[in-house]
Parts: sequence; structure tokens; C-alpha cells
Amino acid sequence: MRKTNWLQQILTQISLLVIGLYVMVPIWGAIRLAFDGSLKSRPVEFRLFPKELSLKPFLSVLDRPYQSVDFVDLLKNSLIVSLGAALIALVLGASLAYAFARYRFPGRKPALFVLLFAAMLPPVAFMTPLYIVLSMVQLRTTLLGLTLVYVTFALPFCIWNMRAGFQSVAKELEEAAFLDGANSLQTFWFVSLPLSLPSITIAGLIAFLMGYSEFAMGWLFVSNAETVTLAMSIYAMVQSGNAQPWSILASMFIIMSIPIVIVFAVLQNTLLDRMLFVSQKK
Amino acid sequence: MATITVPIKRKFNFKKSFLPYLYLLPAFIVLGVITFYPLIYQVIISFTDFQTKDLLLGLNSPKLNQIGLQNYIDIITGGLPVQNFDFFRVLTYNVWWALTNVMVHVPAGVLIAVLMNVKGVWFKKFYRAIYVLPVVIPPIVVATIWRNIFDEQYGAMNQAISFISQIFGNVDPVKIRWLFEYKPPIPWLLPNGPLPLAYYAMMIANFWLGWPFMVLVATGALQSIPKELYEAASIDGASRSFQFWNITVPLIRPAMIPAAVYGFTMSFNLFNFVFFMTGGGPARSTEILVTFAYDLVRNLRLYGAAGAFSVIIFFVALTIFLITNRITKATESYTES
Repeated sequence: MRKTNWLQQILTQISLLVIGLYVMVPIWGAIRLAFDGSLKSRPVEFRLFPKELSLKPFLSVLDRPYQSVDFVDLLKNSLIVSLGAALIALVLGASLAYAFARYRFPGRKPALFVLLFAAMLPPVAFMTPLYIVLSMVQLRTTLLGLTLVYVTFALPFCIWNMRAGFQSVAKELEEAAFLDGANSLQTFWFVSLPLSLPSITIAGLIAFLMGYSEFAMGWLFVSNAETVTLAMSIYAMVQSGNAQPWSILASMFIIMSIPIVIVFAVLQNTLLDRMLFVSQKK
Repeated sequence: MATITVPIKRKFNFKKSFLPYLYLLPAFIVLGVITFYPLIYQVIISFTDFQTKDLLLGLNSPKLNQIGLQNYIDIITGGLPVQNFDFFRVLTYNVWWALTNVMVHVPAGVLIAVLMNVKGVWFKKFYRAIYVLPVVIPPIVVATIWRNIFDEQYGAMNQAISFISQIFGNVDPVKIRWLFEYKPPIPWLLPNGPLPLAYYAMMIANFWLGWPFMVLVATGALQSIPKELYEAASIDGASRSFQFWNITVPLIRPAMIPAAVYGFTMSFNLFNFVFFMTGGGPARSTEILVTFAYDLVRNLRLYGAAGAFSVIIFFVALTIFLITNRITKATESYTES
């Protein structure tokens, strides 16, 4: 695109830096709390840096964060539920989004209407019936039940995003594949899917995050400690107020966020590469 | 030129016309079980006085009383045994909250994406990595951190304001009760419901949460714009602002409008964040529909009323959807729009 001159470069740098600082404010707040070993309960003074640098909060989180449940179990539950939900939502959503993006069929418009409308409905509005339905099929207190609930959280966004992705794939490429003798499944798998990979990845990531940070439905359904997730334990810690030092809470935040930040940092590069690749090829 | 219509023999291809439905089926089954069935269930519950004792058996519960529209009447006229609840105030606030959020997030996102998309900006990858953090960090974490920032005594916000006011000769430390002060600072802004300071605090916090997503969407859209368009435009002598309004804006609009609608929906139903930051307080003035629905179930245990409330939410969502659908023409395919 366009080259920049010096003045523009400096102005851009300043504004980007200010925005970056704004982004870092709360994150830094959590980091400094997490490494502060001097906290007894809630923070009673404002500081830029920890008063007493220590790893104690992290160690106590990794030892026993929530009541009697191991950290590893919490993490495992969180990953099962959110990865499962993201995967199911991606598979279901991809087939559905592809159908809407590529095919014309009777009932297409009403179906799309119903579907996009379902995306508007907050899952919290379905708490009571979901509770009863999942109880009836004996899934309520299991991780599978929770996974299914999070699929509904994530599915609408996945459909929206992937439909846009499939639409952005040039139809000519698919037609070319058809002409070369590929059947519709092959076209989908070898042409449409790789080319819309960025939007699929983003959909999967957001879907994962929704399950990873959901706690309200979780607490409503779960009755035993074995199916508590990380987000739910954070909620429990916040609800318990100032009984624990906030540094434990903060280090829990950090531990919870780091895996996703890393995953995203890795994905982001491939994501952008892929996008650039596509645009060069066009 | 005259066109000659050749009668094409149309063979009904069963496999081909059946295929799209096959693609749709799995998702519709799952949605049916987890969304549409509960919705119908919720409608039935809303006409009863469903209570905790009925949870075990659901609709088969023996002592379930049909009470007609009583739940709906209670909600709309404020007859629920709940303090400080006015349905229309909550609704107005909810719409206002979502609208103002999106109106800030989308332009900010586009602007920052455009800033970063200029070729030759230094540390682009570094900024991108930082800017994406708010999308990536679980919102439950963010809300708690922000609540702490707006803490009356120890929060970073009051400390920062105190520091600045000290430069201007003010000695007293500033103690703004961000999340608990009920009195609206700008009373005329939303006549139907007062906007307390907590609203502004939440706007600041939710801005942090919302704009990076818009940057992601806008960056993706910007990168799909062919560079030749800009080259051609600059050869023709078009100014940068002309290029922005006539190339960038029209070409990213197909991506940004659905994103804006999605952002609106997210803000409208922003349960986790509102719940953690203010819990709807002070005096339910920052309560949105979903947090109240949760309160009805979890704390007040008025399941029947919660059912009615959900049905009302359904209609509110339908209205909003019809409006946004008009804007995005989302149900139309890309060749038509």
C-alpha cells in the first residue's frame, strides 16, 4: 500500500503506543497483584509494582486453588468442555454455513432467518428448561451436558463468521475445481475449507473462549466438585470476597489467560500468513 | 442481439437438491434440542407458577398451577416481589447500553485497523500482539480487574485522577464512588432511566473489551481489498481521505456491518461482564435483561416469572433482529445484496 513519511510514522507510533498502554493498564494491574506476596486480603493501596515480589500466590494456586479440587483437574475440565464445544460448533457450523453460502434450496431464507435469530437469544434465558431437559436425559451434572450447553453459546457466532468466510472464497475457484473433476465434498475439503481457514480459526477460537470463561450456567447445573471448571472456580473465589488474598485470584487469572494468549499468538501468525497468501494468489 | 432460448432438459437431480439439507441437518438437530425445545418449554412455564419443587419433574409436576397471563402482567406493571424493578427502564437502558457501545467500538476499531494497515509502520507485529489481548483474555477475568480499577478507595482510576488534580493544586484525594453512586452525572441523557456513574465506568471497561474484536474484523477486511485499487486511485490523484471514504469504507462495509450487529448483540446480552462488574447495581440501574433473568432464577427462584421474562426477551430480540436484519440484509445471499 502507501509508504509513510516521518511525521506520519511518528504520529502513528504515538497513537498506537497510547492505545497499547490503555490495553496494558488492567493487565498490568493483574500482573502486579499476582506477584505481590504481601497481600492479606484485598489490595489496600495502589501500586505500580509489587510490594514484595514473590511466587507464593502462583504456588498456592497450583497446589489447591478451589476447595479440594486440584488445579490440574480444573484445567482438564475447562479444556474438555471448551475444546469439545468449539469442535462440535465448528463441525456443525461449517457444514451449515457452507450450505447457506453456496447452495440455493427451497426454505433457505426462512431457515437462515430462524438461525440468525437464534443467535440473538441469550442462553441465560433458557436456564430453567435446559436444567430440566438435561436432568431428564441425565446429562445435567456431566461435562458432556455442559459441553452441549456451550455449543449453543458458540454455534451462532461460528455460523455467522464461517458463512462470511465461505462467501469470500471466489466462486470461480470452486467452479474450476468442479471442472477438473472434483466432487462437491472434495471441493469443499480441498478448496473452500483451506481458503476460508482464517475465518474458521477465528470462529473456533471465539467458540473456545466462550466455553472457557463461562461460569453462570456451569454453577447452575453442576452439583459435584468433579465437574467444576476454571472459570467457575474463579467465580467462586470472587464470590467468597476477601477471604483469600487477591494475589491468589490474580495469579489464577494469569494462569488461566496464558495458555490462550500463547495459542493465539501462535495462531495469529499463521492466520495472517494465510490471509496474505490468499490475497496474493487472487 | 437477439437471444435464442434453448429449451434445457431439466433432469431432477435428487442427490443434488437433497445435499444442502444434509449439510443443515446436524446443526438443526442440536439447535432443536438445546434452543428451540427449551424455548417452547419456557413459553409453557411462563403461564404457570413454576417453583423450586417443580424442578425435579418439570411439567409433569402435580401441583403446577396455570395462572394465565399473571406473570406477564406482573413483569410489565412491576408487580413482581422485586425491589427497584421497572421493566421499561431496564429495557431502555439495555438498548441504550448496546447501542452506545457499538457506536464507539466500530469506528475505533476501523480507525485503528487502518492506522496499522499502512505499509511501513514500525513494530506492527508487536502492537498487533498487544491489541489482541482483550479478545483473548477471558471476560470474567477482565470484569473483575476493571471493578478493582474503579474501586472507590484503592482503585487505579481514582488514584490517577487524584494525581492529575494534585498537579492542578487540589490536595484532597479524589474519591469517586464509581460503581455505587446512584445520582446520574448527566441527568438529561436518557430521560427514561438515569445513567449512573457506573454506566460510564462500564463503558470505559467494555470499550477495552470491545474494540479489539472490531480491529480484527476490520484488519481482515482491509487485507482483502486489492492494493491495485489504491494504486489506481493515487495515480488518478485521489487524496487519502477520498480513498478512505470511497475505497476503504465501501469495501469493508460488508464485513463491518455484520460485525457491528454481532457486537450489538454481544453488548445487549453481555451477561458475564455486567454481572461481575456491578451485578446490575446500584439499585438495578445498570441491570440488563439477561442479568435480571438470571437473578429471577438463581436468587429469587421465580421460575414462572423467569419464563415469562424470557419470552419477553424473545420478542425484544425478535424486534431487534428484524431491525438489524433490515440493515444487514443478512438473510440475503451475497449475490443478491
